[in-house]
Amino acid sequence: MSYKLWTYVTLSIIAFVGVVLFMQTTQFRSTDPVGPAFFPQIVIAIMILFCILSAISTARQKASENNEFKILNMPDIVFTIIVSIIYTYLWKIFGFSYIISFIFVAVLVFRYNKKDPLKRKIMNAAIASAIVNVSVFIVFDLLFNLTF
Amino acid sequence: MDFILKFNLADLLTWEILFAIVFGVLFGIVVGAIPGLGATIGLALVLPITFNMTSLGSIVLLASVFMGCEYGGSVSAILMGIPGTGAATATILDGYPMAKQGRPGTALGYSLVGALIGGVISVLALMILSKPIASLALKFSDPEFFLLGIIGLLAVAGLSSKDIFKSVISVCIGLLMSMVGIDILTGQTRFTFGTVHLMDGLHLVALFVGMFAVSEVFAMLGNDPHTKYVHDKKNFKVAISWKEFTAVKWTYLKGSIIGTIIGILPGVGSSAASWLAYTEAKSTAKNKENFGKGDPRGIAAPETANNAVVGGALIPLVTLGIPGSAATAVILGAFLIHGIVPGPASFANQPGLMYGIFWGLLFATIIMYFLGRYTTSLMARILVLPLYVLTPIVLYISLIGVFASELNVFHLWVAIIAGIAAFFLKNLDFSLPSMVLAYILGPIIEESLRRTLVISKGSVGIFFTRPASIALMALIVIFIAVIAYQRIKAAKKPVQKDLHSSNI
Repeated sequence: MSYKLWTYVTLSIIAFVGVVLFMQTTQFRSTDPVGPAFFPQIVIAIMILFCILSAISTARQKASENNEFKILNMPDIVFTIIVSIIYTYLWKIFGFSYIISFIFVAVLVFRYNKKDPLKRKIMNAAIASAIVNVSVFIVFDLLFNLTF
Repeated sequence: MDFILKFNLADLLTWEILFAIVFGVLFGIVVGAIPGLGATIGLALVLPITFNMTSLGSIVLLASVFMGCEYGGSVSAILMGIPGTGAATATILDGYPMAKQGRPGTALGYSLVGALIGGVISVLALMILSKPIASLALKFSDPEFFLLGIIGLLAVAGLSSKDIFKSVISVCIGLLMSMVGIDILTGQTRFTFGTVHLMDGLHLVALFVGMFAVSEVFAMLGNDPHTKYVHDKKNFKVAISWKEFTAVKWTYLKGSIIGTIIGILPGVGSSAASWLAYTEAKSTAKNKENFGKGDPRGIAAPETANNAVVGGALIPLVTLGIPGSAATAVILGAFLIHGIVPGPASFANQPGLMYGIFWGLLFATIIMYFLGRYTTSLMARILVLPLYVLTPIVLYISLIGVFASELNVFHLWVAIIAGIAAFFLKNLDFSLPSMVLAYILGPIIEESLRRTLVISKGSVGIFFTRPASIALMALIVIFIAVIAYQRIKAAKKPVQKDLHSSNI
């Protein structure tokens, strides 16, 4: 997808969220004209106005400026987001666990390491994860007395 | 002289402050040295730790990280020709050639001495100028604070992105994020979508860590995961001789003055300061042809200036409560976490704390010099860690930090969502610094405006009846004119993406 198209999609989402929030502000209860809805309504109006201006400005950009919008290494980014969501969900259910955290870091190190052979990848992931988790334990549990 | 009389040295001679300075500086050097990370990310990562510290300890910690990051940026710039931070880009021009000539320790020595001198002079400026500016600001009331907030937003929005429309949209998003939660003036809940977790607003630490650290993790994934920065380990004694120092003493002084002044100006940032100092040093030099070939002045000027920015940037923050950059916005966040609202009244209410911060920063600068001398080679070894190890560590530490701040899993969701959104918005040229600054300044701007309009019974004429308001409005007009002029100039002459956009 092109940079222009991504910009239009993003601006549309922002403007849509603006409209939803504006509708919410109409339900704020206040008799004061400078009440809780006053400032949000001004900001939302400006935001929607500039979304329109930005869309016009994007449309007027020369074809040469219409670069391809590339996100490098998208599969790893999606993988990281999914693993982070699973990790946070497990955190919510079981509470903080060094074992789950160890697996979380190890899985990511293993995934990002593209060169080493399998055995070495596993070893690297385990060592890196163990060191970082021990460091977190020392800093947060021992130094700051923060038991999760 | 209040900074001497109203300061208790015993406040600084504690284990907590010593830890804050040593850990902050070392952490800052490491974060600053890692290409892609910078002061804002470093500060966001450390912010959760400050929850368990005293007010003084937490601000000193953050100021030490800020200072360490500015110096740390030069480490990778000099050793590998890759700037750790945007501010260190100018340092490459002469720092890297000098290192390649087999003098990496000397090049780092010029940088470190520059960091010391720039830091000390800017902190002295902070000590001397803060009280008079704060006294002047005591005459300010709601209309002036509203206008000051607008100036802060204008400066950053105007300079931090090449697309002014997207900058303004970023400001609006930041302002809307600041409105989530209970409206202080009426008690009405706003934009909470029925969840109790949002009653206190979007969590500051979660938002900052998500926007800067988590989004940076996604950006790091775009690089070769096996990237390992290797450098020459010979001649690594970080020092310069007295003769070498005296040869560049005026460059150090001029760099300090430039950095301090640029630091005070909102929105300009350390990248602009270091380039300005470099350009000044080159243009006034007799033998300009030496620049770019390892000239010491080419290292001394930018490195002094970018460290002098730290003290300068704290002046508007502590005197007016207005941060001029994303990094100082994070520091303001730490003030707010501890229930302190920096501004003119804080010098009257908490002089010990304010002057303690100044002296803490001065000590941090001096200690940084010694830590830098003896640990830079050690810190540089962190760069040997390949990105495939470094990236998960940054993500894990970010999530742990967010959770540690309030032991609430909901904040982790906020951080992850903020990270994903920030990553895409940044790639589409929206301005994260504008967003963060608007989020921090939002409550000040909204409350000041609403109180002003309540007092004036809805009339905006109040802004034209007060001399200070008129002066600030004139400043706003000048700002808008400068931004418009720059945009028109840029439109006529296409240039590369501005250099300081990444580091404001």
